[in-house]
Amino acid sequence: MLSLVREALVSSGFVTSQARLVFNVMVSRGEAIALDVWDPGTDAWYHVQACFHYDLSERFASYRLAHDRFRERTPRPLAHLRLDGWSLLVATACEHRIVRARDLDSARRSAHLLGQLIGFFATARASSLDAADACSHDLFMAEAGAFLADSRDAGSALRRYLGQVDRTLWADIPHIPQHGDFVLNNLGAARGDLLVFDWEDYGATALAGFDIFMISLSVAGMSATSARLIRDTEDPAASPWFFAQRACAASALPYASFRRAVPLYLIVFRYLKRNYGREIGQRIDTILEQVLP
Amino acid sequence: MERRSCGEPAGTTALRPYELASARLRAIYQLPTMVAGAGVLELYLRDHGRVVDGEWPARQVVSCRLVGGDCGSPVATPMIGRLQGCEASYDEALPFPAASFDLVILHHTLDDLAAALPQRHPRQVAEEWLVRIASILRPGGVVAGCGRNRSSPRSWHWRRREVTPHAPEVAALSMLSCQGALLSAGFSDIQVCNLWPHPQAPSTIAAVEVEASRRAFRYALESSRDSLGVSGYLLRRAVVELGLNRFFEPYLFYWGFRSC
Repeated sequence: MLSLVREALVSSGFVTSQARLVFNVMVSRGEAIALDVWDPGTDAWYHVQACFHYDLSERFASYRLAHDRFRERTPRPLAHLRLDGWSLLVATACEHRIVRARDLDSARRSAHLLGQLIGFFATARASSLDAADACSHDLFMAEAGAFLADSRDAGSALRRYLGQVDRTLWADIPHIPQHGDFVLNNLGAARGDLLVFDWEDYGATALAGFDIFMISLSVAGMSATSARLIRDTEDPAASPWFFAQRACAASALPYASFRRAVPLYLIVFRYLKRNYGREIGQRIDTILEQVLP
Repeated sequence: MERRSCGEPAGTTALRPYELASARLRAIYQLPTMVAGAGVLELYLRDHGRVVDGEWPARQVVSCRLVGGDCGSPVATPMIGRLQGCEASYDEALPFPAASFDLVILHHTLDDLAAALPQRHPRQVAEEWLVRIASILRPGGVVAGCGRNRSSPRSWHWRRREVTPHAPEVAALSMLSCQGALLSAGFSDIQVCNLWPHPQAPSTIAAVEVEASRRAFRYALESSRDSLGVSGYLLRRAVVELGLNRFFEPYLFYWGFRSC
């Protein structure tokens, strides 16, 4: 497969055919193999995702859209190729470290990271959908609800909630395309600047506040207790998700609406993670059962 | 909504492609070469879990157990799918025609051979076997393997166990001697990597070239920073920046191509 990665980089004009390439490879539990490829001759690094199981062209389109909108907050997608049954996505490789909950906590004192985080939500708001897409929450929630109601793992609380849910719950929530997996693991810091990775779910939902909820849950700990605290805490200033109120303001989302939408966000979370294997699905189902009214 | 759900796999219960450790292991052995339509041989002594199986994407797949002494005439017997099994003696020449395989897999094999031949230096055993393997590879064919890193501090533990007859664990090669042994056996386009967390359940291979190694270990260190104290973090950070992890990590993964 590495020969195909080489071919992709050569045919796209990023490296010469004589270049000696060095590969760092990560095979995680997902569908794609991730590679950081170094060309020592030019000291250039490329990030490549290689997938044999499905086509990455939609992922590439999402990455391009995200880069067009968020620019320096995202790696630059460079090319997508299909070679010998493999789908290969090439992007710039940004050396970074994962943002930790502690980094965000220290952002209370250092405005830089916090400013970039809030700025991210303000930039996202600039891509709000227009009136023609105003029914997108209805469509998305209908799709998610139908899928989850049919799921054999759906618990009684989820089924009851889905049975009584109606559009008034999301009527006042703005339509802003969401990253879709805005958790600490997908945030990086490169020389102090915020980077956001893994955009494959970008725009899958436009339910504003979902990304704010996900990063809040991520810093608070992925548990039902955390979800309930996010829902029940009027003023989060002393909480690990202290940034949520400012982030909601940047999204033109009243904080009370954000808190009220926590059960919806959990349903969206469950739906977007439907392909992530049984273990993750069961973890979210457990949270749902304890948080849904 | 800007886009509908993409063409990614549906369903809540399907196993993801690399969810199983065995799938990740096969994936890293398939990295160096395109093996579809080719001949693949796995040589092994002890059971560390088989890499090849009947689903391996190749025309001919042979899993050959190496045993001591005379095991008679080796006969390949069908196992599952395209997979054939056989036994061969490590005291004799390999029972395969020259230039008959495109990929030879040595999953812990050089370490186990060194343990089985304690009267000889582990590196000599590894070098000799890499020469033998080169002879049964077609031009352009690949040897890929994994083993313990002899320069890792854990190697002292393994060396102590060399004297334990029933469970010998030997590290045949260090990072540098692995490169040297592959080169002296005539392989080219060599890459030696550190592998973690474990050869039976790998997630990352990082090239030992210092820039690439630093980058991979920096990321791994920063990802585990919350579990470290300040002094522990600073010490590890110094080791990373000095490029020393590649010498210390316990496992190596390597490959090389038989010159055309």
